Order: sequence, then C-alpha cells, then structure tokens
Amino acid sequence: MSDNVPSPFRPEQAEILRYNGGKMGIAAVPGSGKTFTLSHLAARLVAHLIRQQRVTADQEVLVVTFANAAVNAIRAKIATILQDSGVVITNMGYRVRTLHGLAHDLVRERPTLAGLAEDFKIMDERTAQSIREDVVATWLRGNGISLFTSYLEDEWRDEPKKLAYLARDDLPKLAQGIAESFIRQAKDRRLTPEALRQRLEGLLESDLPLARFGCAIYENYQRALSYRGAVDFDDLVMLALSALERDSAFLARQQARYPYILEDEAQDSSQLQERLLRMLSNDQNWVRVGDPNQAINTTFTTADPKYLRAFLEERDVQSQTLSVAGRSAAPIIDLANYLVMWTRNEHPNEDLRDTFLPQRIQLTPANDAQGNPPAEEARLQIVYSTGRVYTPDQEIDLVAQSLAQWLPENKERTAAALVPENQHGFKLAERLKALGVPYEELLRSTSSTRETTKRLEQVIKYLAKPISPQSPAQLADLYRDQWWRLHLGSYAAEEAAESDQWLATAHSALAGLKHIERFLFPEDGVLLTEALDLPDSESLEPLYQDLEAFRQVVHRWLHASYLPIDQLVLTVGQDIFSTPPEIALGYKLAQLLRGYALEMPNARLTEFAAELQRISSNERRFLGFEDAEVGYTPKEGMVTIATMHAAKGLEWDRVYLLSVNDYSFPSAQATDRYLDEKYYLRGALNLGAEARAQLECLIADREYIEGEASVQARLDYAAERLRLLYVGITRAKRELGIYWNNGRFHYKGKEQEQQPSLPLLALWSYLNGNPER
Amino acid sequence: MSDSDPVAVDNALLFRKVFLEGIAGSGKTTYAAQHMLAWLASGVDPSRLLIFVPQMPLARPYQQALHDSDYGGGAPIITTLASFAREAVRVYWSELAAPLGVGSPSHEPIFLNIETTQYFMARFALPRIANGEFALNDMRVAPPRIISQVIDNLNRAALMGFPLEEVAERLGNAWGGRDSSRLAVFQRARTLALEFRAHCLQHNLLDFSLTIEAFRRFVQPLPEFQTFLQARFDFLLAENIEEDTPAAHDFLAALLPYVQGALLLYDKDGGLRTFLGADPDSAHALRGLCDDHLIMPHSRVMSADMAALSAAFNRILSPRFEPDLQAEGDPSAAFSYSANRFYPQMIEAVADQIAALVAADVKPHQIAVLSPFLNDSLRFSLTYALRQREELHGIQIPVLTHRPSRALSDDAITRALLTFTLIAHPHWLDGLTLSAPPAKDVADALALCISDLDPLRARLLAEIIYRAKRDDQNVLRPSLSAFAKLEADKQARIGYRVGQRYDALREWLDSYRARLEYGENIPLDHFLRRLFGEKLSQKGYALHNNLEAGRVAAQLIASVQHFRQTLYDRYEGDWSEAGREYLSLVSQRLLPSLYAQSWQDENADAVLMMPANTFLLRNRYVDYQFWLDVGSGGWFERLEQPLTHPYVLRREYLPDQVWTDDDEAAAEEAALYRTVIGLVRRCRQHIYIALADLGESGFEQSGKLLRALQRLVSANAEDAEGEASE
Repeated sequence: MSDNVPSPFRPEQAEILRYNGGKMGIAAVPGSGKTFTLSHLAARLVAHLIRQQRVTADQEVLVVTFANAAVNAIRAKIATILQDSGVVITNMGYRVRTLHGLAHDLVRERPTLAGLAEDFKIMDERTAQSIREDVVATWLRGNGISLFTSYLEDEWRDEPKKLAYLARDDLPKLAQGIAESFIRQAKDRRLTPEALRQRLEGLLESDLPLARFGCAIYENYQRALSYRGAVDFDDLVMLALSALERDSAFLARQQARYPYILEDEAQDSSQLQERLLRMLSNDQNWVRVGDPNQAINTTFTTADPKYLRAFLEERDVQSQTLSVAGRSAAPIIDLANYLVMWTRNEHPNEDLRDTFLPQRIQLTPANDAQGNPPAEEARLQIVYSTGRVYTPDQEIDLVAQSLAQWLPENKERTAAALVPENQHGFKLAERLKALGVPYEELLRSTSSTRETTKRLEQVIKYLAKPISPQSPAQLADLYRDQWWRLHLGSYAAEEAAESDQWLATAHSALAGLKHIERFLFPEDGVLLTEALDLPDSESLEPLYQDLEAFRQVVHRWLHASYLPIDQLVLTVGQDIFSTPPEIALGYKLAQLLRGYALEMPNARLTEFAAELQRISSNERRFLGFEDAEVGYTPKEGMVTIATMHAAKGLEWDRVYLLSVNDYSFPSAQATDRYLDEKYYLRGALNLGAEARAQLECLIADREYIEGEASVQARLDYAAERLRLLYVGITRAKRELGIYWNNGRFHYKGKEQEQQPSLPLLALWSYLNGNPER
Repeated sequence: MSDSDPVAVDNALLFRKVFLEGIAGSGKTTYAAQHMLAWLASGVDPSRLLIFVPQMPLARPYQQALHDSDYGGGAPIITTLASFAREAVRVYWSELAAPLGVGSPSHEPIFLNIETTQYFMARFALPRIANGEFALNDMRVAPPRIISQVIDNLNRAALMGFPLEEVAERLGNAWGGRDSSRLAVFQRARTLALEFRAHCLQHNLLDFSLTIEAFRRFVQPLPEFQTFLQARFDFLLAENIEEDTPAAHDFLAALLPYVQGALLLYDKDGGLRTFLGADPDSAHALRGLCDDHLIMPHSRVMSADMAALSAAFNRILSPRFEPDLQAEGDPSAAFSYSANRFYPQMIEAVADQIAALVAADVKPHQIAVLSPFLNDSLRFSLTYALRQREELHGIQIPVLTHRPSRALSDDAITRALLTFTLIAHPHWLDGLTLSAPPAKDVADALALCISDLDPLRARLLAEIIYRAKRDDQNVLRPSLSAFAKLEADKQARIGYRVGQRYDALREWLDSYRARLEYGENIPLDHFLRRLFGEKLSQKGYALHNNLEAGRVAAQLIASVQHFRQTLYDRYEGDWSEAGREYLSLVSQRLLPSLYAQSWQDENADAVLMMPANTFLLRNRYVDYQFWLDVGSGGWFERLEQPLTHPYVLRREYLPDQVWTDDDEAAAEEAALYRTVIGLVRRCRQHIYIALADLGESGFEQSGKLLRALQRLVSANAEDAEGEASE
C-alpha cells in the first residue's frame, strides 16, 4: 500500500492510516474521530483489495461495531470515501456488521455445524423473556419460594402477610432477573446446562443453591428454545464460535474471506466476542479501536474493558492513540480530564481509582480543520449550592425552563437532556410538551424504529377492521399519513398552499364516506368523484389520479390480508417503506409477527396490530442484531431526550445532565443504595451477582463466600457510573449543565433522600476553586 | 459401438440396448419418443414395453407422442420405482409378509403416504422431543423438522440399500471428531427410526422406505418374481435415469439382461434430485450393461446466442470447463440484466416485461418466472402486478404457480374450506384444540368462495350473519343466519345477488348439519368433496373455473381421504373422531400439504411461476425465462438438516470419510452450476435477469450467482473493448 496519506488527517490519524497489517490497538478519547479514522482505514484497505483483484475472489474487509445504529453510518461513510476516490462499485469488498450480525452470518452459512436446521429462528427478546417467565413460574410452582426466603430480612420472612406480599410479585421478578443474568453469564462462559449439571452433581445438595436454581432454569429454557428450533441473541456468538471451532476448513475459509478485521467500540467486547474476532483474524490483521474510559455496558452485559486494555498491552500489538479531540470547547475537555484525574488520585474509595485509563483529552492544534469550539463561548454550570435541595420535579422544571428560554434564541443549535434512566426522561418529555418546547426522545427504542412500526401498525389496524364505523376516518388518515407523503404530497410540495388544500379535500372526502365500500369497491359505473362526493374538476385531476392509485393499493392490501401475517407485512411493506433501514425493519417485524403467530395460533390482524402497537408506543423494547436502525442525527432547534447510554457517539451544542445524585452515580460508600440490592433482602445482598459468583465458583472449583460478589458488584457499578458521567460530559460541544435531585424514597421503612453524587461535588469544587471559569 | 448426435431413429438400434447421453435440450426425449413409436410400429406388444421414469410427470412426452401419432394399439406400461415396488409388494405379499416380520401376515398391507407417515412418526417423536431427547445444547430443531429428517434417513437407507442401523454410523463418521453431542443425537434419531419401523411392521403399515426395502430384500430375490420379471417385459425405455435412485438403478440392472431392446436416457449435467436420493453416478454405471453408447452433445433448443451464454457460464462456473461447448453466438444478446434498487421495483419491472412479451404475441406458457424461493408475498405481488397490466393493456396473462410443500393452514383456500368445516361440525369443537373460527376467517372464507363478493362486503356480511354462542359446556358453537335477517340497507350494501349465493351456501351447510343431527355418518373427505362439488365449484362461486383453487381443494380432499383410509381402515363407527383428529393435526401444523399432485394443468397456456429447482425437475422448455432475486443464496445453498445428509448418505460416499467445509463449498459450486446450466439449456430465446440491490429483507444482495453474473458482464465488456481496440 502507498504511504501517501492525504492531509485532512491529524498526525495521529495519519499514522493509523499507514497501517499495513498486523495487530493494532487504538485507545481513542471522546470526540477524536475514531469512527471517521476507522472508516477511512477500511476504505483504504478495500481499495487495496480491489487493486489486487481480491474482491472478485470474495475477500472483504470486515468492520465490526457494537451498536446497530453505527452500522449504516459506517457503511455509508466507507461507500462515500470509495466513491470520492473513484471506485465505481462501492458496495463490494467490505462488510459492516454488529458482532451479533456477524455471528448470525456465520451460523446462517453452516447451520448444521451449529446443530440448527436451515430455517432456524432467532427468538426476539420479548418471546425469550416470556419463555423464561414461564420456566421460572413452573419452577416456583414445583419448588416453592423457600430458596428466596432464606435470603430475606427477618421481618419479611417471619411475617406471613409481608411474605405473601413479596411472593405475589417481587420474588418471581427477582427470580426472573437472577435467571436472566445467570443464563447470560453461563452462555458467555460457553457452559451448557449439561456441563453445569455435571459439575453440580459432584457437590452437596445444599451447596450453591442459586447456581442450582440458575442451572434448572437454564436447562428448561434451552429446551424450550430447542423445541421451537430457535436461538436467542446470546446463543448466536456461542454457536458461531462452535461452528468455527468444529470445522477447521470452515474457519480457514472465513479467515481467507476477511483478510482485515477492524473493530470499533472495542471496549464493549466480551470475552466471547473477543475470542470470535481473534479466531477470525487468525490473530493477525486485526485493528481494534476503543476507549476503555467509555465502557458503559459492563454491568448489564458481559462486556468488560479489561479485554481491550489487555489487548493494548499485548507484545505484538502496535499501540496507537487518538488523543486529540476537536468536539468540545477547552473548559469542557478540562472538566472531563479533571474527572479522570480526580478519580485516579482522590476518589474516596481506593478500589475505584483504577476506573479510568490515565489518558488526557488533548486540544486540537490551531489550524485544525475540526478545531475545538472557542473556549470563550463555553458555559459550564453545576447546579449545586450547599444546603439547597432539588426534588426530581424541581430539577425537571429547572431544565425545562432553561430550555424553553434558550432554544428560541438558539434555533441553529442542538441541545440534549441526558438522563440515567428512562422514567425521568419521560417526565421531562411531558414537561417540555407542556411548555411547547420541541423535542425528540430516544428512550427505549429509537424514534425512527417506532415511527416505522407505527406506520405498519396503522395499515394492519385498518385491515383488521376494514368496514367499521371508524373505518372511513382510519382510511383518511392512512391516505394522509402514508400515501400522500410518499406520492402526490412529495412532489406537490412546491405548491404548498394548493397541496395543503388538496390534502384537506381528500382527507375530508375519505373521512366523510358514509359507506366505505362505495369508494373501495364501487358498483359498476360509479365514478371516483361520485363515490367521494367531489366536484368534477379538471384542476383536481392529479388529486383524483392519486386517490385512484391509493384505492388500488388498498385493494392490494385487502386481498393480501388472506396471506400469512409475515407475508402480508412484506407485501404492505413494499408499498409504505422506501429506505433500506425501513425495509429491513419491516422484514424484522414480519419475522417477529410470524413468531408471534406460531406462539398464538388464534391471533388475527387485530392481535397483530396490538402487538405492533406495543412496540410503537414504546411499551416494549424491540431490538435486533440487524442494522435496521438509522443512526440518529441531532436536529437544530430541537431538544433530544435520551439516556446517557443512548447518547454515546452523539454530540450537541448544549447538554444537560440530570439526576447526578448518589443513587444514579454511587461511589461505593457506606450510605449508597443500589438498584440491585432489594430492600427486603438481608445483608444488602445483590442476588444476581451472588448467583453469577456461584457460577464462577462452580467453574473454578473454588469456595463461595456469600456477600463478596455483592460488594464487588457495587464497585463495578460505581465504576461504570463514573464512566457514564464521563460520557455524558463529553457529549457537550459548547455548553454543559449538570443537575441533581434528591429522588426521595423509602428504604427499610425510613424516608431517605439522595444526595449530590461525590463526583458532582468534586467537579463543583474544581470549578469554584477556579474562579476564571 | 459409439455414435454421435443421432437424429432419426435407426431401426437397427431397436433390438439393441442403447445408453443415450446428452445435455438437456439435445433432443433425447424427442428421439426416445420416436424410438418408442418405432418399437410399436414394428409390432412390439405395448403391454410388454416398460417406460420407467423417476417421477410420473416425466412420462408426459411419451403419452403425448402416442396421442399425436397414428398408433391405435394399447398403451405401454409406465411406472416409477415406487409404484412398481408397491404393486409388487402387494402381489407377493403372502410370500414376503412373514419374512418381512409383519405382525399380521394374513392381513393386507396398508401403504402410507408422506402425510400418514409423518402422522405415525409424530406419535413416536413428539413424546421423545417433549422429553428433551433432541434438545441437546448443540441441536435446535423444531419437531416437524426432526420428524421429516428421520423419515428422510429411513428413505435414504432403503434407496441406497444399506441397513437402517448404518445411517447413524455414517452420519457420525462424517461428523468426524468434532466436539459435540451430535453423535448421541444421531443415535437417538436411529432409535426413533427403529421404533417407528417396529410399529409399522407390527401393524402392517408400509411407508415408502419399508415398501422399497420389502421390494429389494424380499420380492426381488424371489425365484417366482425373477421368472416373472425375466418374462414380463421385452423392451425398456428409462427416462432421466440420472434423476433416479440407486434402488431404481439396481432394478434396471436386473431387468436389462432380459429385454430385447432398451433405451436409457442420461443427462450428465443433471442430478437435480440429489437431495431426494438421486444418484447420477450409479445411473452412469448402467452404461456398462448396454450395447451402444450414443451421445447428443448439441442443444436443439437454445438459440446460437443462448448456446454461447451456456458456454460462458460453463467457463465461469464449471469445475470441468468444456471448450468444445464454445458456440458462435453472442452471449450478451441472450440475456438482459435489470438492476433495481428496491424489491417492488424489480417486481414492477418484471411485470412490465412480461406484459410486453404477451402483448407481442408470445404465448404465456412460453414464459417462466423463476426464483430460488417463491413465498406468498412474491407470488401475490407479481400476480397482482400482472392483473393490473391485464386491465391496462386489455390482454390475458394467466399464471400458474407451483410451490413446494407448506403447512396446510397457510393456504387461504384450504383455510376457507376448513372454516366451513368447523361451521358445519359445531359439535367437533372443544374450545381447546378446535375452536369456533373468528369472524375474520369466516369473512375470508366467504370472500374467497362467493363470486363477486369483495373483502369489505364479506366482512360486513360475516360480522352480521356469523355468531359463535357459548353453550352449556362453555364452548363457543358457530352458526350462520339468513341474509334476509339483515336490515334492508345492509342487504342493499352487500348486494342481493351475493346475498342469494350466500344463502344457498348457508342452506347447504344447514341441511348438512340437519342430516348429521339425524344420525347420518359422513366422513370428512366426503363432506369436503360434496361442499366443493355441489356448491363451491358451481357457477356463482369463486372456485368455479379456478384451476389453482380446484387443485388445492382436490389435494385437501385426497389428503383427508388417505388419512381416513389408512388410520381408520375397516372402521365402521362414527366418523367424527377421524375428522376431528385430522383438523387438530392441521391446527398443530403437523400436516404439510403435498407437492402438487396434479399435472394436467401442464398444458394450460399460462405463465409459469415457480422455484427454479421445481422448474428444472419438471423438465420444461420455454422461450423466455425471468430469473428473480439473483443475489439470493438460495441459488446454491442446500437446505441444511442436522439429522440427515444428502451427500453422506449416498452409496459411493466412503463410510468413514469426514464431510468437510471444502466438500460443502464444492457441493455449493456444483449445485449452482447444475441449476444455472440447467436453466439456460431449457431456454430458447432470452433470459431476463432481475435484481433488487436490497433484497426483500432490506439487505444488499451478493450471492455467488450475482458475482458470476458480474464476472460474465465484465468479461463481455472486456471482450467488447478488446474487439474495439483491435
């Protein structure tokens, strides 16, 4: 490869682009353009393969990333770079996948190696959960709740009324949570239920009761999956690995297919995922980019930044950094760097001082094309003063009022309010709505996913009851929301006034239909204008033609409603979805509903529409491994409400961080309270962590000591929350506000108040000790 | 003796045994039909002439040739191995029943079809599956698949002629030393197969595998059968032997020495039914038993350009490139390539092109639309797009589709018939396995079955006239009320003519119910036959003159009938139980519908729409082909089945050889070559290749066929550039 690296790159980036083989590890700070650099590197490697005519021999550069949303963005970026460099066919020679997507490709290629039939199904999260619920409920019916009562505080265990209260709802939920995290961990450890059972058989009946419970649930859960010929998401990586290990020729072929592997967000890899890529790359041409300081998925997945950290230390790894970042103004960068420094040097819990890698974000040099926003325009505010307490509502009100004031004056700017968890975000959304502040929320699923699902739901809902008293209004809305937008509305936009008039005319004519069949299936000789009671006007001819086409498509849908639901969805999708992510999502929804239909043979369109509604109204998280989601781009003059997790990779001019208190951001102090430590359990036990610890003890054949894992879980959680705060801070380009609330709650019968988190206080002191800020 | 490219029948060959080898479209069958007529013209007794085919539809050209000729004598004997074996087993039952080991040698055998075989296998498999026997960590296969794969193994063992016990061993050896619990699963599948076999033997039930095994092991060696066979036929014509199984080849080998004349047809690029047990290699071995070997290397079907395209594909895809296949024509003139961004655009483009061809007087049956899979959505969308063009251009574009088996309940017509069945038999419902159909199903059934009733009015009608009321057993019982009971304005909206038709149907169902209440005992298949025959196929009902719907109904009736005759053989009691059992199997999706059984519609002048492989198996030739979804992996990937293996369970596969990824890749290449070359050779004029960048799933497409096409296109471009620069 040529060493000529064009100039728009910073020196560190240019150095990386000179890569020509081997293992490389890149520690990148937030805003340093790691995805940008990686995409350019991918494009250069693709061009290299093209020059060597290796693309026609099926070779591809493999780019793996963590989040669905990143896949399309990286793919589009690579295609653009290739196009700019004169490559004609820009969709060959590379493959961008999430890790689960990659695992699916591998399993799909040779299902029998993984013990699957060719038509194996991937269980969506909802079905998997409902299977687990059934399995747990059956177990509880057969074994009672004594396993869990042994962990209760005396007052809960000994009072029948209280115990009955817990047994109704809390304990089944607790059991469900334990089972879920146990199974995930076992899969990450690649342990089958049989292998676990074998190990347990060598122990006393009373040993490791949580592991026994986990194993029993795991066994029956896997059996239920097997009966359905299905796998869950966690199985995919495990099965892909098994397939590669089982057939060396298959592995060799895959290795030959991917001469270069580039991995983005490598800090989010788990042991298993790392192993998969190590095998595929044959431990050779493998570039890993990540920021261990932004590892924020460690406590609810099996990801751990320690793997990336260890990789960076490997002897044959070329270690690089991307330390210069142009995203944020200097004071914001300074604050983020201070958080790292404070944690490493001053955190009151010494066990947390290793949370961050000691890397500083550097400012860009003066002539940088993507230089930092001017420091003098930056604003930092930590809303704290000694003795002053904010309730959650007050906090929300402060933020909402601030936005209501700021946004109209800064219509060309972007803003975000980032929350640690969804509920607070929903409340903020309500408040903003009341104040008339425009916002988009990315809570639970992205709004584009919900929007797309909603469109499908609208059609299926109509088809479920095509001739009820509400049907004309529904049909009119269908025309307005689906058809008009894609057809006449899209090209009549130039004549806005006339176009609005046409739409209003059509909508009211459709909504006013007395008998809907008179329009959709008129008797012979009835003209469209007669059916709709519209004037016979030549100027309205384009509208009438559009309505005629709409009538045809509704005909098509009505006739297609005899098809099985997945086929109906695919058919309807052809008419209402027009972008690749929409089509991919439509396909995914078709699969989901097919699975639903197999589970519920009596479900018909009404039930399918209700299922779609649960997704579109955000009651149910809907996530897959496919790149169905569009990458989110913040819009000017609009507030984004998102969790700090979902904000990763994004940036806004102004950012509000909410709920930075000691509950959402604990510091492993004696007074801290944790979500996973249930109030009714003795000794502040975190039973999920204890169950996983029992699993680890079983594997390593070492002694289990109750409580150790709960303590470790606190540390892990506190560390992840520190990194989450770091991520939150580094989302801001120009302005940053940090807020907290006292989120009052009852704990063990006493009212407790949350306090500002320790890092908030540290940052506040830092700012106030530096009056020039 | 060896000859090349025979055209006219040589009478000297009539009394010789000829192995005729040629590519698809070289005229083998045409030649063979003339050969058959020459035999008959020379006075051969037709009842002593055997025409042996891998599947019955392949005998059609011979029936047609007889029909079109002046020959007025009787018809030759046409058979497949399966039907010959079944007949022989029936005839020699008294001799073979005891050694075969059946439970009641004095009773007649009961032959199972694939559905009843599945039914019995399910009886043994389901409890084992529920017990977790097939739920090991590295096995996740749904019950219907386990059932069908174990049946596959039984059939393969019988066809290849190795003991059933050997299957697990062969599969295990091919799996090799890979770490897994798979070996245990193979053993469990073996146990299940043996259990099923024991049950069949005990109850005189003969599935396909046992029939073949009985024939091979106990009929063929019988001296009286040998005597019979040696004397029975004088002449033999075997079509497409490369698509037949080793058991069939053994039979032919046994027969060949005793006939006076034989003609065996072999396509060396065939082997399309390998996944069903066909073995081109063992077919080719029959050449050694023949006197003459004739070769027909040239296509009489393809245009010069198409032949050049075939040669170009041969160059790109074949493991054994044959330069002598080079042709004069221009390959790029034989196909056109339309790339669309989106799937619907592809469908519209194809519909436009088909309409243009038909408008230019191309006969619809000269057009085939082929894709690796044909799901409901594609079929519906394309058919719908063609209907729109019919209206637009005032032309007729009838369409005929064929699809492989699918769950009965997924077919709308079947569902409609079963909905009426539930309404007609309310006492069958128990609210658990069988429930009253929802109003939507009733509306669909009415819309599909009553002419001129659109889906909206059907829904309106169903919501008013259909009721399911809870009875004292707390079960919902369905009933229909009279059209006259509707309010006048509703009657007007729905239409009186439609109302009359509905009433006639309802009265028919009511009177049927009344007869049941009076104690009449009617099996389900009789009910369906009468419902279809007396009502739904009559004028005024939508199944009247609807070929496809008629076929579906006939298939359903045949399925129910066979089910009853097999499971309720000599039964004289109430038929309700049999009907109820059948319906609950359907509702559990345990009954797939059969492959299209009826081939009479073959001559219909309709555009053929089918999976590419189905088209190839039917050995049809057309002027124009459309290849859809060329980016899909379905053009070369086999259906992966962890419990069985079409290549490993072949006779020539070394029993201790591990099946590797290289073998798999080579098998894929071979499958792609076979499919592509098979299609090209069955096309006379032009192939329209249609691609959607984004497949149905919204993903970029990049399968092997697409890459081969890209190489073809760029090779053409380079050739053109080369010529220009010269």
